[in-house]
Amino acid sequence: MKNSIKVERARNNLTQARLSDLAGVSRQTINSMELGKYVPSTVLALKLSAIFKTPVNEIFELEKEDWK
Amino acid sequence: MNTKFLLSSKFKKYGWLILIPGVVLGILYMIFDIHLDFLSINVFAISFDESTRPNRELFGFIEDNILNEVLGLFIIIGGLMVAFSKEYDEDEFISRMRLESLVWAILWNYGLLAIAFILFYESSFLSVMVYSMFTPLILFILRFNWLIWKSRKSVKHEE
Repeated sequence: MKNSIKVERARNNLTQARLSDLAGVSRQTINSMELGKYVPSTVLALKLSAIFKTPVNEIFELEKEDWK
Repeated sequence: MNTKFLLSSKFKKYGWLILIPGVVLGILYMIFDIHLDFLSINVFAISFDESTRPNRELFGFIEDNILNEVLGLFIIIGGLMVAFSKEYDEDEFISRMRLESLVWAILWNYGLLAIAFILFYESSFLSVMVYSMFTPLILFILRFNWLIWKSRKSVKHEE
């Protein structure tokens, strides 16, 4: 699964620390999501969508491997 | 998330204060067979085999040196406090690491125990059994804290 969290973060001028505060998670969570090492829960994905004012499908994208 | 069984994060540092002496003294006890006379007291036992009467008895008082029981309880109580207190920034990612660490610890514990079954015998195996009472908890604590440390370190290097 690909995500554009880093891009959205830059677009909204947010540091990882600030974004993690807004989303109510630790910095590790944001960092590991940006590195593609962690898939967030639905609630967290929806929170990010609300913070970035962007639909969830535009932040997260399924890849072929996810369907296996 | 499943934080309903986790203790408040304050417990962790007190847990270390109980766990580390327990582990250190416990290992020394196992190696050097330490005996402290003042810890020989009368205790109530639900089940016991006294050396003078080999048949197992139920419900009575016996005299026992409680050093090993005390150390074991220190390790269990300290270990539980360290292992199952929330991190200060506990969230879904840390919960995931917690779960993975539990699986890892159980697999490694039983894997090593299975090998020990094959390689250790008689009173050496008794020592294995004693250690194996605590290794699931200890392995979990080591693995979980290492994963947390690694991820916290990598975060410091970002941006």
